[in-house]
Amino acid sequence: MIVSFSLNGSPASGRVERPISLLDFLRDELKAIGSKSACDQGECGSCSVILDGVVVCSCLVMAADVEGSTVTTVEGLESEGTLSAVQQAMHEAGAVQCGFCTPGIVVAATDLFSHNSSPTTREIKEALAGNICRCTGYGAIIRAFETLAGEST
Amino acid sequence: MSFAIAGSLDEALAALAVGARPIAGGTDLVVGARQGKAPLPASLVAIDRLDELAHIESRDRGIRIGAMVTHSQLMIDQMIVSGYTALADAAALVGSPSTRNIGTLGGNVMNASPAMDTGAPLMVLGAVAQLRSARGSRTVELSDLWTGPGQTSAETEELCVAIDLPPRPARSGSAYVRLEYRRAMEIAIVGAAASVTLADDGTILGGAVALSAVAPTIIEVDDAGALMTGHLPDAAAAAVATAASDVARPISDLRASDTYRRHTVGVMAARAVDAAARRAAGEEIGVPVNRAIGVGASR
Amino acid sequence: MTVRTEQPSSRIDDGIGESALRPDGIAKLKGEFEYAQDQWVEGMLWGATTRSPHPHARILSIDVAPALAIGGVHAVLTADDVPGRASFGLEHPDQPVLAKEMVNFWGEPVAIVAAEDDATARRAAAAVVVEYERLEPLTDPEDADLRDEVFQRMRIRRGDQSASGSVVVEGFYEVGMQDQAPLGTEAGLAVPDGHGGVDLYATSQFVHADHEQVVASLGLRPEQVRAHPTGIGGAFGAREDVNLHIHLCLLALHTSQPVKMVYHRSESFTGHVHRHPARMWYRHEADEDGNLVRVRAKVLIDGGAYASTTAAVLANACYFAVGPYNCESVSVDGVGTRTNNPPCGAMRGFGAVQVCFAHEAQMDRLADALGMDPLELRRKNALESGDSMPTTGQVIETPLPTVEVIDSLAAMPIPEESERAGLPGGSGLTTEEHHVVRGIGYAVGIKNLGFSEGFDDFAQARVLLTPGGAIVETAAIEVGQGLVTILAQIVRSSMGVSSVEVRHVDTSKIDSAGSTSASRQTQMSGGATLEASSRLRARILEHFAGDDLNDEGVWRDGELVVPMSRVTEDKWEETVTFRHPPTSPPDGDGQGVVHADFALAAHRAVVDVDPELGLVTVVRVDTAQDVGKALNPQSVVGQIEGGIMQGVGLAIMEELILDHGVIRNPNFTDYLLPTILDAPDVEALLIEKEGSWGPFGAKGVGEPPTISSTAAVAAAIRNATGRAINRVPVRPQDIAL
Repeated sequence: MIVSFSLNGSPASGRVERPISLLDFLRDELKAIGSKSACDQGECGSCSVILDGVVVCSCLVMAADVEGSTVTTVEGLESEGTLSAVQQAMHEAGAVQCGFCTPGIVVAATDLFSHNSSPTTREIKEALAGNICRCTGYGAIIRAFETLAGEST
Repeated sequence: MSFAIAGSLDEALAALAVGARPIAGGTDLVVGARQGKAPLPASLVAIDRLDELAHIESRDRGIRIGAMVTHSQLMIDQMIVSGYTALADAAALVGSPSTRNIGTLGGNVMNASPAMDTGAPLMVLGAVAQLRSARGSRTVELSDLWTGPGQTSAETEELCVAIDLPPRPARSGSAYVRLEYRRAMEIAIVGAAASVTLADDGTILGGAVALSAVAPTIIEVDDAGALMTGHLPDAAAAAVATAASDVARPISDLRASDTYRRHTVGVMAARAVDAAARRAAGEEIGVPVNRAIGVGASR
Repeated sequence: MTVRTEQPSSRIDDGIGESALRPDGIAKLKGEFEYAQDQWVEGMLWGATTRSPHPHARILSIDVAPALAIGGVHAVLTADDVPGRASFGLEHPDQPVLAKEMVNFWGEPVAIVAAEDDATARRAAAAVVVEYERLEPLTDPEDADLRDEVFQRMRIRRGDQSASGSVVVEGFYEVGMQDQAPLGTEAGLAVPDGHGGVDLYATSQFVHADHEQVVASLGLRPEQVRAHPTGIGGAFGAREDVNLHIHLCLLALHTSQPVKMVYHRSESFTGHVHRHPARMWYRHEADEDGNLVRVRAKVLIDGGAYASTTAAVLANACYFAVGPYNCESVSVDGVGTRTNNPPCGAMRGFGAVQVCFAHEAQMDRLADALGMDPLELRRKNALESGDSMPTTGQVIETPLPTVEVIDSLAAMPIPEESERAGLPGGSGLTTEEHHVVRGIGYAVGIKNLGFSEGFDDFAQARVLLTPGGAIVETAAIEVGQGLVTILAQIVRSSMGVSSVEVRHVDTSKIDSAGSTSASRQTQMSGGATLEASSRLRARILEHFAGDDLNDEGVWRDGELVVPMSRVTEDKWEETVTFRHPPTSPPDGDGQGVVHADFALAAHRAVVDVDPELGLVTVVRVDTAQDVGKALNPQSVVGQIEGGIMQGVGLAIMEELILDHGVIRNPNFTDYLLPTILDAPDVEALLIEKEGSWGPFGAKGVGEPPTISSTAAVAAAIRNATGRAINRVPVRPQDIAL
């Protein structure tokens, strides 16, 4: 079957023959490699995307079930070729090391700041509780978003 | 693979009648498929677009929670938070924000995991499941629905469409507490839910306690109501602790030994009773996570 | 093939000592950075692996026909198809490329498959029929020790072996098996070159070691194989050993097509080595004033089925068994056992982590027995520059500010009791404030930097000056630690040119940089880069008779004499192979100048414990660390915070659980990694004492944060609960029952 949906503001479609996940569909069929596969079972957040307005692990969503939906991945979050405020804050705080968790964190944090422009530290942590980072110990990630939250107040 | 997105409940029920399996939003089916585990059903029907199942509605006798209501909805819904707080406690603890966004109450109930978080709260709040099939509908007590780990008494053609909860008596409170090692994305090592109604003198008028992850299904501490009635919360909690340890049939697994589970289930049951009683008395004890994100909670 | 989207910084200000931003940060934030998992070429096949379901069995037969019969399958290879050396290994080539007669651990590769897509390849791998005769696995390392099933024994004897002290403490300690769990799983792509050779683009910490092992097992000439650095999603030791590398090249050459392979998470848990689990028996003796008089230890680490780096990890565990303390009478016996458990090898801290947990528990017990403040005991015995290593007798020539590190940490403010990091028991209602007791614990750890024991440790780097700016070429691997930032900073500061690009080149274009391990690349590849860029600058200045060089060109007496456009009309490049001060192998008693440099750190952990349930929250971990010179303070803090998180993980939640050799929790649901809600606040003091041989006096900083943070958390739990806590990870049942 052919699945058609909106990906980062543009129409996208591809053939789905097997019960594959949205993540595999994005990466293998559509060559949208920004979303990462790290745990295969919704336990790390590296594959986070915004599906019809909510953050989900794309590894848990059946590709066939996104027919007609709107999907935003990390590739859709920069603004006019430059880093978004969320991305810039992470860059400056040193919140990126190996970077494998980074796309998922960018997506989850973008969703947080779209609902709440000045989250508290605890709100930042709760919003990112599903995103495992193995390199940074989270310190720089928290500082990045504390700084961003402070700027918007 | 045959895959259909149901546009109406009738369409979904018709698909189930001819052998399709329902899926909604997120599913561990794709996880299994990727890992080459469990053979996949030949036919799937997606029910996540059925808006009619995605509401929480007040009814004459209590409330009805549609099966497609997500944990994210449950944890902040004012009717749930104020009246059925244990369910909000549980919903707020499930997985991570993204799994709460796609995980549904219906999916949770029908998965029938003995470690599920919403199960014990539903039980102490007196919930029943509404099952529908192309041939009709029926109401099932949860204790009859859950028959074993991952097993229910529902027919394959039946769909859980809603969970009904009876109204809450005055001066009632409920709470769910979960023992977990990590601070997010956890599965209950032991969980306990309590519902308590207080008399004017502060003693307990009645209530219930249920436990997760200490038996093949969610279990109720049968005599908890009787043990608590007429006692002040402290004494009631102590009595329930002993009864919970007695009724538990924990196993040793990766996460904990049976000895540890038996030790902690009593502690957890007592803490659930304590929190429920304090909520019943009017103390503000926020729903976890909601406390962090600034959503109020009461009973 | 692999294009790294790195953006050279052009701020001359971003020299050493500045927190320059990562050149690859923007690409990573936009999702454009290409990791090994993301490689894709037209016409490529997918590889998959058939693995042993048994920890120990004899292979009676292998039938590949059912797999070959599946449509879309191009090749199914077994041990018989390995043209060259049948085995591989970082130190000893004892691990079969594919098992032939025996399987010795659960998940050992038996056959490999190439097919048109991932799912088909995996289906085919599952369709290979292997007939096994199951054998009893040897899984208890103490049994293995008794049966002399060992990879290595280590013996250290220093000083008067009859020395004794009036205050004696003894203890037994255990450390569970930790996994590096880098977020990127093992992945790679092998592309045949059409002339019998192959290009390999796979996850690695050490492409030249991969190259050597691929060449040997494929029976090719060295120039026929090129191992390319590629984008890496973390490593922490897991990528030092070969796993899918030889398999990919075999499949690519066999099918004459590019082949890609990506391990799933469950496979990754069996596909790479783990941190060695350890059992340790200790006896410390001191005089009544608290001077350490004698330390005896037995250290047992389980190497699992194959050698990997067990010998080196064991040696390290023994060398640092006493910690950063003076003691004139030392006896350490070490054993690295061979069992049917999963193979163990490198992980951040490399043997020093395990013994630190034990020696620091012993120091606390000793302080208790002496009625002395635990920090005072450590100060009194502190090993400093100029002292002799208690184990090897080596005089420490580089700075080792142990007392300053301890004092600095002790002077940091202790949080108020009311300062919480959330309560134990997660974000639920499980634990309330009145259930909680607070504990505080300290630990100090030491480890070598760079390769030791006479190993010829070198790193090559090349610096070029081109019209587009300076370029550094290196085969050193960027795993996320920030080497790309540091090398550019070194060139900016030493050459005076602001635009610097770091290029990761393959094994045919440059000599080895050594492994990205042992906290060594900043010192080693940094050292090579500094020397190359300094020499290049000197040559350019000499050539044009100038006295200064910057972006505009060559200057003399404050005047621009040759513009950069003319300077770069010539080809300017300088290649340097850097070696650290020589070391030597130990003698039969473990004595000698064995190490090139040392680093240490001290940690203070504050925990909240719910003793009734046994749950722990780590409120904060403060640290002072000996860094030599912080070349990029932001990066150093990033290494410290990340390392502490892994140390906290080992202290309270991270453990691979084995059942008769079978990993029971090879997934992120059951192998618990700390989440952002589990992260303690960290305050880090960087202690800068220049004098090491690293560039600008820098020391490696990656490992010390992981070494004593685990011990500090354990000490804090001990302090809160009064429990012995002789095992990490600390399980709730160890506290509650």
